[in-house]
Amino acid sequence: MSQTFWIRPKSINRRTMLKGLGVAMALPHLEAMAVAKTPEVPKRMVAICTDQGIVPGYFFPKAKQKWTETRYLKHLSDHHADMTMLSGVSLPDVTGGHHADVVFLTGAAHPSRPGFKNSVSLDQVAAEHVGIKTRFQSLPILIGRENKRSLSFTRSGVMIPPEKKASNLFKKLFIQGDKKQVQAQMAKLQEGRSILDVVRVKSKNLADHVGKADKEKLEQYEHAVREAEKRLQTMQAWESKTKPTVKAKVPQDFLKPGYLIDRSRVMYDMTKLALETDSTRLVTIMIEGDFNPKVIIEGHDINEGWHQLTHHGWRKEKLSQLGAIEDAQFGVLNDFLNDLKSVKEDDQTLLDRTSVLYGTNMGCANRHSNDNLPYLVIGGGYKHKGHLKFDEKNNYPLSNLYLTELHRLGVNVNSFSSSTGTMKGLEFS
Amino acid sequence: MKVPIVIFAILIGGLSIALLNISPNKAEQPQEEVQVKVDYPKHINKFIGKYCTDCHDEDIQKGGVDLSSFSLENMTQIDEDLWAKVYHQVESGTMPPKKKKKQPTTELRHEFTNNLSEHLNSNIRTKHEMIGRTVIRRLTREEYENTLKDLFEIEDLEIKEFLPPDQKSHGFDNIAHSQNLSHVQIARYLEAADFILDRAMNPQPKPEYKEWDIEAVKAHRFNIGNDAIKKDGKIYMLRQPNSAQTPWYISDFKVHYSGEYKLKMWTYGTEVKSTGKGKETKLSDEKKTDKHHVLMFYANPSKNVLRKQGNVNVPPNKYEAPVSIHLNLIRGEKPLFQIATMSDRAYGTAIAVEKLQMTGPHISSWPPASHKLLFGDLQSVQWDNKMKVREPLQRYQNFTGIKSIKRQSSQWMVVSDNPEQDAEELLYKFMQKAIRRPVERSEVAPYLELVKNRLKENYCFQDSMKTGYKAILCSPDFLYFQENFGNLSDDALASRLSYFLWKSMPDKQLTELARNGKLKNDAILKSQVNRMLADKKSKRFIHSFIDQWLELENINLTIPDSKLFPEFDDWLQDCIARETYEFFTTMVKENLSPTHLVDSDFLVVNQRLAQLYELDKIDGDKLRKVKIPKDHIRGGLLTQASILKITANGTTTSPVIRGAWVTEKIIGKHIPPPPPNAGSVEPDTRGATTIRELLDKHRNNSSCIGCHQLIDPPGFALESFNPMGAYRERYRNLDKGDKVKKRILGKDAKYKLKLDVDSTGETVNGTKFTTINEFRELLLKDKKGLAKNVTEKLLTFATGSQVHFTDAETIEEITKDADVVGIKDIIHGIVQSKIFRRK
Repeated sequence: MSQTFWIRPKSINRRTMLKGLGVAMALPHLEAMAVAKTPEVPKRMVAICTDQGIVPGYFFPKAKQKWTETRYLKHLSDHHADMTMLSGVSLPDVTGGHHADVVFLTGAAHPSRPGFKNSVSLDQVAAEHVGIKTRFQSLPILIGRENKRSLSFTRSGVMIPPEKKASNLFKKLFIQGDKKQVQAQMAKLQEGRSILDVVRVKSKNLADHVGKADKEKLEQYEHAVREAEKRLQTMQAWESKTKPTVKAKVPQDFLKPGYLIDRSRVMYDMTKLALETDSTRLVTIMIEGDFNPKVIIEGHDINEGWHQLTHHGWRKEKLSQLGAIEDAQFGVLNDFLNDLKSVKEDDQTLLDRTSVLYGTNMGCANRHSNDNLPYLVIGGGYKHKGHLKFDEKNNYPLSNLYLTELHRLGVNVNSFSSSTGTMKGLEFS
Repeated sequence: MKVPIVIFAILIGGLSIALLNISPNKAEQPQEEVQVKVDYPKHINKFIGKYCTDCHDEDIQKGGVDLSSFSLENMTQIDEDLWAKVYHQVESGTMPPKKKKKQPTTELRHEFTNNLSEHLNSNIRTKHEMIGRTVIRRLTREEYENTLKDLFEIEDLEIKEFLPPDQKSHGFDNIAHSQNLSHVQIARYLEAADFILDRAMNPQPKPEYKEWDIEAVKAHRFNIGNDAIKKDGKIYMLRQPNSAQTPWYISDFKVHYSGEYKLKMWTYGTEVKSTGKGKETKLSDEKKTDKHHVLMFYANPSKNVLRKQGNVNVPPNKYEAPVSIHLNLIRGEKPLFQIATMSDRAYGTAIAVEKLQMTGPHISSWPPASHKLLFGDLQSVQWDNKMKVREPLQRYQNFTGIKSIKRQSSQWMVVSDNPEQDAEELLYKFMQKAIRRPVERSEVAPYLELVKNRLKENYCFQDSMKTGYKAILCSPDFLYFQENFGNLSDDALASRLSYFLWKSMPDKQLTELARNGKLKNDAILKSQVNRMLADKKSKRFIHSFIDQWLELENINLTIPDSKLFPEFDDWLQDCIARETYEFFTTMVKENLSPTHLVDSDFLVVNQRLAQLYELDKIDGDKLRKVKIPKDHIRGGLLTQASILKITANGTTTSPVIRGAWVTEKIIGKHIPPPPPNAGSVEPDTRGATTIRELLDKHRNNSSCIGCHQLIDPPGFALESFNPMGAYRERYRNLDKGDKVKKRILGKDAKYKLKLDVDSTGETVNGTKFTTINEFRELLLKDKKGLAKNVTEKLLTFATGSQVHFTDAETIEEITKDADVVGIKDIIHGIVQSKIFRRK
């Protein structure tokens, strides 16, 4: 009885589920509903982490100030009705300052401790359910220097290498190879599958001759090979389908670290195109400041590296430069939101069906703290209610938002990472 | 397998002697043997219940520890680690805390630690007998790259970027227990194998050797007038161009084949004065100089990426012979250089360049070893469309880790008259070398099958073979260590040793010794360790170990604030990590005592470092050993610029961060993370308050003081050093204080000096110190502790497993003569130990 999965009392917040499907539904019909006769409404997510923090004083409202009137939120004035600001939230037991970027979407505890092992990221859990519907199960993107960091991690805690070039992303998404190229690619995928077939058998033989603990490790290898095979198979299937066409041209890459803002803009553009063409429904973007060269901001003389500026020690001239960088970051975010809103899908906009999670791994980069994270939830069909304030001393678990987000994406799980339940005060409309 | 029976004689309460059989399989145990089993858990729990659970129970969980939730039976790794901690806390007298009234008698304390230690030892040993101290280990991406480098004899292979970074655990990335694997890596292994095989295959004719004579004035597009002046057929380089133009390209030269090239430069340093501007600039006559210059060379595979190639010294006044440098260049790359000894502002000195010559590629034999390994002596031909087989597949042409496939007009390919026979032979030979253990002929079968299938599909011989090789490189045989239970086989031992000291596969000699069954011999093992440490491949061990242990991998994470620390330049950045590698290399080579980590009577420095450390002038880039002047403040690791830099954030320093670094890395005590909501101290860069004053407010809180008493003292002692590692007596800031009249690298200093540095402190047991030199003396008192710590770190790195409770005896044995034991002795001790020689 596979359907029992759907009505197991604790498996999902039933009320939420019912609301999502129409409250009038009587319980016995739920099973039938789960098979979904209504046309599917695609649910999408873009999760963004800017890893040098966000100056809290410019983000959060001061006493008596409205949340919409803070320096940074003013940049997003067209979208205030579509967003929720979270304060007093953090990932439980996540410490380690900069090191916490790798757990931004996984919530694994203490990333800088000995013996640390990362866990699966929000997007990858979702990818197991909604990923198969699109050419790319998920798209991890890096706005940064090296291919070393992304927000996406597999079930075994392995980082999924990001794409860092907008032009590559464009090619992957939209450029159709000629017949010969497609054939060559198909042949390569086929070769890959036959190789994996051989090594999988090899590992099985090997596993028969080792002890229990070793066997588990080899089984992990075997499982990984099987997963890789499945993916090659899916890629083959997609390879034979025509890629969508778009009017846009191959974008410029802006790889020089100074071009943080231009780079962000083209990556946001690619993200919008990927979602609009339903090439993927899950995008993660790591914005990395792990480089020292100076960020170029029009009209400002930025004379120090971004990371150096975050250690401003409340010096005015440093803060003003850092503020200028972050102003520009919110500026391009606003453009991105405008773009998502400009795309109509059925009677909704792309933004209505895409939740944009925007935040950072450090509440205050100046002292590398990992609590009180500045965080925005935008679009996605949530009932947005402005500012959700939680206790600054005793933070509310951000992982609860991730659980809610999974439910929104149609992933029926009881918990995610360190979640203690679904997000208080955030409901689907 | 015969089950070993370990018998322990145990003294309980000084009366009874218990014999205990430890056996992984109780069913096989001889029935008649007499056993007096001591119920350790009962004894242990009794003590715990009486003295510990007042605080460490489910409800209170002081320090986050709830002893009731940890098991003494079927212990997991977490249980083991917790009990090991309990043992050390009780044994050292830290727990129960002194302020508690209820204290165990010394006898009880002894009895408890004895019971606990016996219980842990016997349980962990049993477990290790059954499943091994470590589980099956996978090559890290660094080991993977090195293995392929050595297998194919291609030195400049850069392939690790294909793979996601490995998870670090207990400070290192090769801890088998924490290693993960998923479809991501599998897909990347396939891709990487493609890449490396394309580089290794070279069916085409030998690339032509060329010499390029490059006229100095044409060598690079200088900004004539400002940066450089032409005179008498020479170029006089007057300053380092500004950072946007750094470094300079050497043009008029192109690399078509990835390999080794050699650059010669006829050049010397001199002193000239320039007058006028732009093209009107005139140069005075040359004057004698005593300044030695240094050039730093790079290659750049793509925009914004620089691969460091090496530094060369430019002699003063005239040259005897051209300076030369070997460059490993990849197809399409250009060499670049930068003047390390000049700034972009300061004029006065110059480097004269008469001419340059580039030669290459320097190829010792053709086809290269990598091709021979794959295809033996088989001939190559050029494909044409009249042939029956498919056109050879396009190969990677741009070996920079960046995928770019260029079409070649006419493809070369290897041909075989007896493809199936040749395939079998070649695959067999390849597996023998790649798989690091003796291979049975029958093991070739599945790979041969793959090749045959490709041949049937009409792929050419070369491409069909490639599929087989690709599979081998992705197989668990290649990717995993193969270690048997009990004493390691000779082959497994050879691999463990080789991945310890070379981070790569065993070479021919090691393999032969293993195959002849000689490696297990203690003396041979010892001589092999000496040979391996003397080999240049041991550099990989030094770098990898130091990068991870001391976190030197973070050396480029921050750059000191240019206004506060204008002295910091690219050359210094380049030197400081080298100093630490070279220092540790010296310690290994000369078998120096681990106390040198804290204090040494020598430094390993060059011109730039000598300047930073305020030593007598030294010329040139080469690092060399110099004696430390009496009462000088440097010596050991703690005062090396690299360490002082990675423990700072580029602007300020924090005694907590530096203290924690010293405590964890050198003293070897793990520091628990601060309790939630502990808050942290924000340094005041406006210069009004010192970090110590700010910290005092925080640490004097009763819940903080416990740890901070332990963590902070080394950090206080290191307050005398700024974020780039220079000595300081006053803090610099940009707001308030005394102006400094100084020109640094051609610019006026902008920083001001205000508050005085206070490097005094008090250790946790109340000993006071006023300077780093006094603090060093305190650290030096615990020679044994220093030796044990570095032994633990090396043991972790060598075996790919965390240190276990049961390792204590071996570590004690290795470091028992703490007064005389040297780093090399420790390495020998580890390799000779049972821990290293068993799974």
